[in-house]
Amino acid sequence: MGCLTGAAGAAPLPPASIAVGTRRISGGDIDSYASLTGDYNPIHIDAHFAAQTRFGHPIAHGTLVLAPIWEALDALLGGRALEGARAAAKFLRPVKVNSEVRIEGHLAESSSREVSYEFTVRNEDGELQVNVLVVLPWGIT
Amino acid sequence: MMLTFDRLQAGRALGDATVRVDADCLSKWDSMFPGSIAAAGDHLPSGLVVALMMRGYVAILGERPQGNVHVEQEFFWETKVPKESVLVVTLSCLRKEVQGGRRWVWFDNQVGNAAGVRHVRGIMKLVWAA
Repeated sequence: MGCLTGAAGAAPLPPASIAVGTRRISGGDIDSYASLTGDYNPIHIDAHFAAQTRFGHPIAHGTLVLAPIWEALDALLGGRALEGARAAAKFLRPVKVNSEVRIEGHLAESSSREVSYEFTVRNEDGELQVNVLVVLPWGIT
Repeated sequence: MMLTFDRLQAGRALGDATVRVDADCLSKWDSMFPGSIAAAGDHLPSGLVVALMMRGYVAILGERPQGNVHVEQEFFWETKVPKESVLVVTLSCLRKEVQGGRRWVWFDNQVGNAAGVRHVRGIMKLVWAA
């Protein structure tokens, strides 16, 4: 994450990119998330069921795939976390259980009051799986 | 009774659920994202708030068709969630339609507290399996 420095007295400039990193969505993650949410949809946890769907394989809960993005933003934003933020996610391709994803965020737009980042989640072949646009309040003290 | 597409009514509230933030859920989150709970201080990590929103969604809907697929999600974060919280999740069906041979459903999923303070609102779009 490359945080830029703003002019003296001004709010810090938003980082140009947010490298969330890679993460393997493990079967253990799926089990924990299913237990936490109560979401035992067999498309996530039952290989036999999932094999009969168009995905052919168990897939991760969509909101679990997004979680590393919120973790990175919580760390970036500190105490105020995501207060006042909004986000729109599109799940374009399924994330298979036990696959690795690479998540990156890039500054898309900025103004005196807010900044927007586009996050992408890609599989090991570089295919785009999830796209997330996040708009954050910025520069308001 | 299974909540099928035919039984969903656009514009209709589906109910609410109370979700208690307890040691078990904090522990589960920390096992997935080590250090996250401590780093969030007196509040919950945002990702955990989303997970608890989903817990409420699942609890309110009850028996759902197997194989529903989450295709889009919006969030509007308003206030942070204190670590010692009892959350109230409310759910309503915003819209439903059949298009391209698939059943599409939109839900409005909100997380707040018993005093009426809203923490986060989510709009979900899913393919409904049956």
